[in-house]
Amino acid sequence: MHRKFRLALIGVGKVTLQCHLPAALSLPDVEIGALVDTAMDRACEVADDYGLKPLMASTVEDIIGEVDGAVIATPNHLHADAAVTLLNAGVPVLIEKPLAATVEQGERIVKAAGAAGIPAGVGYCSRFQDNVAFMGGLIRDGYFGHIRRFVFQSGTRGGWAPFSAYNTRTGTAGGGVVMITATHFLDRMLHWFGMPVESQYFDDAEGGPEANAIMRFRFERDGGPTTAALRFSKTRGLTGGMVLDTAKGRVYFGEDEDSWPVLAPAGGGVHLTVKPDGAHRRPRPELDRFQRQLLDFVRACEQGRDPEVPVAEGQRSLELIHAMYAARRPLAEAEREPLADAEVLS
Amino acid sequence: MKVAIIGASGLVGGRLYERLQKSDGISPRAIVHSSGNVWNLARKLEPMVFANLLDAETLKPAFEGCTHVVNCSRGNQQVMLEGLDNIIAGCRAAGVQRLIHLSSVTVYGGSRPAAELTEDEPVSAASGYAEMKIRQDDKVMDAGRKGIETVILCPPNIAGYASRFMEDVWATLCEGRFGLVDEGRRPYNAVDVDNLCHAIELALRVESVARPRYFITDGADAGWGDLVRELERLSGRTFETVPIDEQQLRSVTGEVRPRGSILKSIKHLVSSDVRMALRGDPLLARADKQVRSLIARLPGGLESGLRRSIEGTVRVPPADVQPRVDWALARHQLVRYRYSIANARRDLGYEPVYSWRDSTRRFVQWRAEYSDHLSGYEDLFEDLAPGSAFVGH
Repeated sequence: MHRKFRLALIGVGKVTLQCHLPAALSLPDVEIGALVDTAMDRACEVADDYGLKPLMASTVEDIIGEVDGAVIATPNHLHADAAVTLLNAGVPVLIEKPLAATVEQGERIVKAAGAAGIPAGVGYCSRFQDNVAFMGGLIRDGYFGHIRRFVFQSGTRGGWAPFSAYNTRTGTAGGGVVMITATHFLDRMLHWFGMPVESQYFDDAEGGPEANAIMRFRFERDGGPTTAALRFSKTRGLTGGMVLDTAKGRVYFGEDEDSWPVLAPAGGGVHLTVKPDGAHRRPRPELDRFQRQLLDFVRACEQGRDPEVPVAEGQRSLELIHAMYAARRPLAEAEREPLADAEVLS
Repeated sequence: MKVAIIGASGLVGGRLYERLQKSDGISPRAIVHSSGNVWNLARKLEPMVFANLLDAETLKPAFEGCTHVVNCSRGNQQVMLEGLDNIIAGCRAAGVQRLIHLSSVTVYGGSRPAAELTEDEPVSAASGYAEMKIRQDDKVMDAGRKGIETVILCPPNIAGYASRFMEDVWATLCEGRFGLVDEGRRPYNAVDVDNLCHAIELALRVESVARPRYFITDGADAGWGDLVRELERLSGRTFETVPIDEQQLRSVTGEVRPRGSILKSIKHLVSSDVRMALRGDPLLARADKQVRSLIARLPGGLESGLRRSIEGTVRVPPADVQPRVDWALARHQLVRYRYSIANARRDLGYEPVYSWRDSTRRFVQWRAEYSDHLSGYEDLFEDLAPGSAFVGH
């Protein structure tokens, strides 16, 4: 009989309860082999709630040899220690995004994964959405022709409230809205457009994690430069989505999982929704993005391959974010010193 | 004066915290519930005390050493009622001198003949929310009778910097879903968030409190149509509004109260909602079960005929209802009167710092904040704005 994949969940906080645990419980090939948390009361309560009998532990050392892989969903600054310990012991890991709180911590993870030669991935779950994968393919294949400019925005009044409140401190989160929210789009952006050759970064941090951030990029691509402006907010509602100014026309790509790119042709005419045919669809459309992400990790472990988003790609995002942090300028500055416009930039 | 601000991560609580930090002789303490909404405090490394209003123990460290407490919290019914009980008990335990409680003008619901309303009018609930606010006010006034000085401030919609209400107005205008009653002549009752914070500070500082409740507004004499025109002037845009009449608004929002009759009362009594509530009682639940089982044994035609005669046929909304109107927002225009701030002026020394026009300008400026950084991309961001051809495609 096929043995189930014994999964450890490291950190029994909100993202585990709302995303990783439901995904694991819904996959027949996966069983919860261990729950690890310093808050044992909560971990035991969760095990009871779901009728689980996993190994209960307060440190990752206690689960070595007992599981086939682990999802690390602790506060960001704790990712590295847990991941390095597990990787050194031969336990594959899937690390909740962002990879770590600092570049140095991320480097330790990448190095340990390289030395261990076992699967190590980072949880950029939106990459497992059908529509995101399809849009990435269109961009990379040049479907829209040359992309001159694009913008992206995402903003909510508050939002995700982890039990540990790690998001309120730069030391534990590594940053603010950029580390917590923007990192998803930045990962996709790097995947689609490559590393920008130039960036400008502004935020409103005054000693703590930034609540608002604006960034501008320039990419050198075949066919000419592409420039971009992105804004992220934790204090105001912004309709999430991306708009691209392309040779074929204006393209809108919303943030919903069922949003497909909409093209307003440059020559006028009706808006066209671009949808994939069967060949471009990802397998298992009935699964949600967290289920797909976990299934990919399990298959990577079974097949001895990299997960779809390996830790090296998580490190690339982390490096871009921290390079921007290092060059940060206050948001209010623009009122005194207007920026050059896009034409000058490109 | 050491002031605990409950709900300091919200709009009013957050602005109040910033204001009191700069005020002489006042030391504010930010009390917050969860980390999800604390970004404005966190980004400045402001100290915060996490407390759960439903867990009285967590309020002890929150109120320790405080002389005053301002309650700006919001939440569900349990938080509003049990949470307030815990706040009052916590105030007593910590020896707090004065509790300022934010209520709402909504406690004066229903139709009133007066053009200007004073706090002396009897309260009446026109919604479940208003009922909760009235019960809260009763608890606060009761605490006032039992030794804690209390002040209840009743604001209308909160406008100005970062106003969520104004964001709704703006989005609805951009989407062409803004309904205007009586050509926009109905009074626009609002208070700038910083006018409200100003009033709260006055209520903290005033030597003695003369009455339990005070209206706090911008003292405007504008109508809703004036607000739309001001937003047009400030933004350089033209908005298309949807004319609606009061009867239609009352009908859609359920404000029209049907005439009472015995038959209607019976129908109400046997409606599924009422029966569901009654089934909370074990004896009534058993009786209900027996009646349902009896009815179920009737021939099919008889059973459905009986059901139709009691519950009536399924209602189809009138054909002239315009679904694109934001009826919830339009509902504010059912109010025909203004809320007098004469008592707040006299007793608290309140004078609005910002006029409604100032307040509207401050909202528009907030919306445009940081837009310099987006130069060269405005047209693309416009495609992500409410009402654009793409959004809602």
